Amino acid sequence: MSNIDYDTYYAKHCARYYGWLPASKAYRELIEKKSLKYFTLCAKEAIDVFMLELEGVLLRDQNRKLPNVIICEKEPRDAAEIFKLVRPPLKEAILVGRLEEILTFQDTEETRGLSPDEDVRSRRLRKLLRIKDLAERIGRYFPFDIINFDPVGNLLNPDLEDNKLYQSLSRIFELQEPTTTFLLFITTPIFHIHPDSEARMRSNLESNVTTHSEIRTALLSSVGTIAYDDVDQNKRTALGFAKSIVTSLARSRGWECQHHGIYVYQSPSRRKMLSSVVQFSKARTAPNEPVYVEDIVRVIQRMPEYYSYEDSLENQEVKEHLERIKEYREKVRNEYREEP
Amino acid sequence: MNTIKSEDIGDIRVADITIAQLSRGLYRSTATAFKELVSNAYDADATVVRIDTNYPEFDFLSCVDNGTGMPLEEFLRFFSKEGIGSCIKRKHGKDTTDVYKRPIIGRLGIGMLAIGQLCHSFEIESHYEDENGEGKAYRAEIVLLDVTIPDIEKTIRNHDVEKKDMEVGKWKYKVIDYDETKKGFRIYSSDVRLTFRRDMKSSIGKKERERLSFRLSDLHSEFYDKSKSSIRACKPYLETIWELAILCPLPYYGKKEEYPINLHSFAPEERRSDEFKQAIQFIQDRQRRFLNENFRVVFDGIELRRHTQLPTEKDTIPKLYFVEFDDIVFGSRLKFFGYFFAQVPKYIKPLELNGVQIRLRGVGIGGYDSTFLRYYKEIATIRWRWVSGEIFVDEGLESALNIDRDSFNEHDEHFKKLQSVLHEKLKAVFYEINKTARTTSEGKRKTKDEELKENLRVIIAEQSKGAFKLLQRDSGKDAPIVVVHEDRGEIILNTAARPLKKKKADRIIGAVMLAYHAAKRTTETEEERDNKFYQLVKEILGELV
Repeated sequence: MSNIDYDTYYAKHCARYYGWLPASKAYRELIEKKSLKYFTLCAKEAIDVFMLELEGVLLRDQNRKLPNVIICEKEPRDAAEIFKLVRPPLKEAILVGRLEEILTFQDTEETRGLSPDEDVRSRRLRKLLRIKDLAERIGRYFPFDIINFDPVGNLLNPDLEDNKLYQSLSRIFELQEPTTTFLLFITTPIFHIHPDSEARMRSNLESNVTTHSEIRTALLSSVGTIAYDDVDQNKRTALGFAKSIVTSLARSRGWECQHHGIYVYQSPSRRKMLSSVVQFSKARTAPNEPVYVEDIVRVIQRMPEYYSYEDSLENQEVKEHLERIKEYREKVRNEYREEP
Repeated sequence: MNTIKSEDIGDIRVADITIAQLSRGLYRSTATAFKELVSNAYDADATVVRIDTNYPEFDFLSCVDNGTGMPLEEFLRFFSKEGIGSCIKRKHGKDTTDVYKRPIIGRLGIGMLAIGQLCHSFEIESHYEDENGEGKAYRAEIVLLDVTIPDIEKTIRNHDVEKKDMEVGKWKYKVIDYDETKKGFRIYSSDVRLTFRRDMKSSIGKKERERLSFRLSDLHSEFYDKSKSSIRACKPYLETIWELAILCPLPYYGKKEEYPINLHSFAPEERRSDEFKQAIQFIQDRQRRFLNENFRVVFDGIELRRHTQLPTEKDTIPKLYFVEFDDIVFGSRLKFFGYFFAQVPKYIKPLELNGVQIRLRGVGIGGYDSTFLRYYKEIATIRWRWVSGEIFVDEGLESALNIDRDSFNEHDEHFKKLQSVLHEKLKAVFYEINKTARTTSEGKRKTKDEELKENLRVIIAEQSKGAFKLLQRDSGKDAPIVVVHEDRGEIILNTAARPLKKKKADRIIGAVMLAYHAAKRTTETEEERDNKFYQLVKEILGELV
């Protein structure tokens, strides 16, 4: 269970404020939808939900309820805290379970043929059926306009194929199949990158600079080198993550990427986190090389933005914005409070 | 060898299987199970307790309060040493809570297991200060063994019935860091019983999900929706909210002058009576007391209040009666106050408000009892459905409380006394409301008769173009029903005539005869007569029926 106080975690709010929010607004304009369908693994403070509502990206219905927002929380203890803030107005139930377990659920001998509505005495089987139920439900909620994939867990695990988070991300691309475009915020810790992951990112970049002259040129003009290890650590991680994880997985599932921004920030314990804001569009035919190259060049030229924990404490604009969200959240809670 | 002594003395014991049954829950409804968790929070001086059901899926339950928490020693005593049902809340004669001086509700120490009725296993987390003021915390997991009905039957039918230690579940705990922001007691469960989930989900179709509002004012309107005579029509989810609210030690919903009793609905002379003033004073004092207790229950984000709104209908004559009793009964003090409210002559709607609710230490014991603790005298009349009341027992009666805290042992001396005092009061209440009802209906009937007479007079005058005037008089039961004096231009309707001796039928005959005579004397041709007769019958019967 995370003990971070997200209400005063301004460095993370920099990523929300400079990354998630403008991208969401732009995306809403682009797809010309009034209210967007949003999936989040928000922390118990639910700041992202209230931010998007305050900023008009998520809208309440005529009964002042917030439809089209699905929250998944792995910790039952934190779910109770989330309820305190979002219930009401959240219209749908919270998915209480580990997203990676839910999204990667597959029937076993035990569960096959059993409905989640089945009365069973075995506690273990009940747990499996509960995950099955959540998997079926989450499947019905898809596709989303915006997915905030901000799990507690590391996507830079060496063996990606065994990494349940990575598999979940892969499943998300499958479940988004009925739509043609969506926005993804994807966050992962980067304070410890496994040497295998690092090696993979290094080798991918080396191969890219050989195959794509545009990428080579962009690297030379931006950072003055094409050697992975000579590039600034934040930049090479951002680039590696964009190329080797996000883009690689998306392309294998038939999606084109457009990175809006990558944000590296420090946690209260001064550990580094990375949050990418990426828009995906269904690839018309085979993955389009020029689109890919253009996106990677953009990443090289403009990303990441970096926010140290200390600097963020001095960022009045971000602090005030977070304060406004908290005030708004309190106002929403008080709407339902009966005063004597 | 026969080991039974020829005589002996000893203690009476309870078989473990009886206690084991408690872990499956003993509560009548979902709301009464939740009520137990709320009562524990109240006793722990919490200012807020939040219950969440993960509406509309109901696959997760949590109950979080900010009270004093449960010390680990108590947890161990409860789950390990003494066992379930070993409550020390009232040890050394303690009767009120430390901080808010609330009357302590818990007696037996089985309330926490109420959650066992709703889920198979659950987790608890307690953050508390020990006797030295040091912050401590632990987290525990409790897995209830599924003692299902066949298991119990099997135990009863074989040698296990003699087994002393009946295991009802497993527990484990772990000491964790104290967190001031989490001070209090928390229960969560993802292992929700399907019986609970199905029941709740059955209430929430697509339509309900779209329509349901979580504002208290909207919920109040839903409960008092005139198209529904019962809260049952609101289906299990809302019914649970209603019931939980009405059972918990909470203030009434709404403004002082209008809720629970709308003062403006009473006639000025009624409001001047001493009994009215006493009753209102009492209700307002109780409301203040509940508000001062600083206790909130938030259910799925909805702040609960007791939704009492009397009168429930317009165009009624409201009456209010005060009840009080304070005396020694069977060696111990019994003290209670309350009120009866009546609305003449319409039913209380929703019907869940009809009857009397006994509140013990502020908590509702069962809902409103529409038999008024078995008040058989008036049960055959409809007037009992006009009455609603609440009795607050401040002292005594607890020994009468059944283990489910939802009903009473009806042979308990305190209960018997309460019953007889209430029935005595109800005699007076029903006598007066009967009188009021009779006077009102008499008055209404007279007014209606006057109106009818006038309307018939106008019809005859208009249809005969002023040639005849209608008189209604008692000409004796043997005289004809209608007599015409053409010379004087009078049509006389004999109000004493009873050709069929059936009120409605006799009036119809009178109306037809009136129409016949009036048509006959005010028309020239047969066709005109037919039309006039038809018109008159239509108009007169329109007034009569």
